[in-house]
Amino acid sequence: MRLLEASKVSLAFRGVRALVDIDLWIDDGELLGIIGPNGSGKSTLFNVLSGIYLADRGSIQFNGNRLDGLGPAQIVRRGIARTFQNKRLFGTMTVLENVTVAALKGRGGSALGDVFASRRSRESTSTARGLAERCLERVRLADWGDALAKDLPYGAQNRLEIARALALEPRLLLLDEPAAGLNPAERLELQELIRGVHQQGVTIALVEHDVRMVTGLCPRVVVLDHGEKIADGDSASVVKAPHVLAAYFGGEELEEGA
Amino acid sequence: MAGTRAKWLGLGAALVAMFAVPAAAPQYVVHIANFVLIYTLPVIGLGFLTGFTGRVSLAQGALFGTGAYTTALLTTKLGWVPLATFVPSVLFTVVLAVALGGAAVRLAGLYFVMATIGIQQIVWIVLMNWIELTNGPQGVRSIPPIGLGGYDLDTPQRFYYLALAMAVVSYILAKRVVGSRLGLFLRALSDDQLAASSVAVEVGRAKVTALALSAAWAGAGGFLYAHYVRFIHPDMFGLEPSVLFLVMSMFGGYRSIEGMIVATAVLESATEYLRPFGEFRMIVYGLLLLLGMMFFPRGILTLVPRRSAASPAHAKV
Repeated sequence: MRLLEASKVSLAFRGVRALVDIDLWIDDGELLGIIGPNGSGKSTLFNVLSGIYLADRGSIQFNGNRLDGLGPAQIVRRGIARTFQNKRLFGTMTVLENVTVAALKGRGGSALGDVFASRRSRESTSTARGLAERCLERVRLADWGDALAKDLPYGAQNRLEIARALALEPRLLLLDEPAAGLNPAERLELQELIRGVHQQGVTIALVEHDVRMVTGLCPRVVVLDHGEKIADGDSASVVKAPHVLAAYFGGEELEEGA
Repeated sequence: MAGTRAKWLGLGAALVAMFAVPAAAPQYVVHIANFVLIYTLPVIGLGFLTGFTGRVSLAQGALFGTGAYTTALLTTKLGWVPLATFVPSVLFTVVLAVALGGAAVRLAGLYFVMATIGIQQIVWIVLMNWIELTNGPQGVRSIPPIGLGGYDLDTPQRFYYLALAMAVVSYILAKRVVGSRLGLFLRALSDDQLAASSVAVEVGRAKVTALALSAAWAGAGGFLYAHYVRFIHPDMFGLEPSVLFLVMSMFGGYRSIEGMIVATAVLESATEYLRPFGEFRMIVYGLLLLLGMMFFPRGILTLVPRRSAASPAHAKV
């Protein structure tokens, strides 16, 4: 079943074409890799899918509903969560609070209920807190709950981004270069984490520079170049296709380049 | 938890001390204490916007005035009982704030500041010039004192307990608001608005709610003020109190309601304890502010050591 289907999505910034007639589909339960050189439109595509940018043309269907025109807060309620390439944490809040904000999504109760400690509100906050704690355990940050997010080491901030997205309990998770800046051991660990989340039934789209990581994780890969989709298919053959190599590495072997 | 216990003891001692003020202190001290208590309301209200939402407003004086004028006009012109005007005063201030500032609060920081200066001016001009309604530059005189159980709260001593009760209630409510999910959302969006909306926080709605709350607290403060000073004039609600409230809400402590209260007390009573400086009083006051902001940019309450947030130094990454 198609979980997400974007057709003919185009976006230009003051005449510069960032996305050109992109057709993208993601099946339910898939783990899709999206690769491409710098500036090829990968992050832009994520920004459109998550409602941060509004596409100039094209339509996006998710789970049978149209998404185009919706803002980030509405899209995440429909089940698409994302992480950011340039870590966007709530720096002055604790690690646990960072995740709790997300875990409160769609819970009963209200701010007013919180103020007067209504039962509904107390229940929903404690459920959210429990979920947040589990998500932190998941990424091995349980011991850091009381630390401020901005005080975390880089690798841990990375994992916190993922924990926050998991707390949104998404159907589709968009990971924007989660491995950037990680050392090899951390990369390996991240790879396992992504695999684990996927196995639990979360559909994932992974934008990543590390081609080896993408081919290792994702059966199917989409390649973008200059805002256009230039390849889409089985990862092993896609990364060997001559036009992909040409776009990505100016013709070098992909394996070496990665 | 020795820290919590000390905190409660401190709080209890402070309450007892505050309770004893009218009996123990001379009248002018009670008088100043009343102003401190009244001002904590608009200051805490502004804290929802400045501290928690990261939106600096210079219109809090106007909202304070809106509350004061609403009750003043309802009591003097329509003959309402003062206590009956409390809810209308708060509500009207909220409605006005949301109507004038609801769109502006979504603007980025600096633009919002400019919009609030505009709101401040609009309110002042209306108070000054809509003479049939507001008496304009004549001000509103003979505002009745608040009557409670057959008592008119017409002296500083009598008024004090009402002001104290209102301040305490507003403090407790503010703490609850800050601890609610709204408080969490506001801190999140002030850290990173885009990330906040990406975790399903309705950023616009949260900001308007913060504005409405800050107006509610300002309106309640204005209500108290009008029935304490019993004469109000548009100039009492110009840019000057707006700046003063802003300074008070930032001088005390970053996102600390207690800090805001301490700052209000320190700054409002400054004109008294700086009396020895004679005509240099305001210069010293200015220096105090300057040095305070230079050395304690996160507020004077950072002088008091905080219980260190559980240090994860031992934890394994």
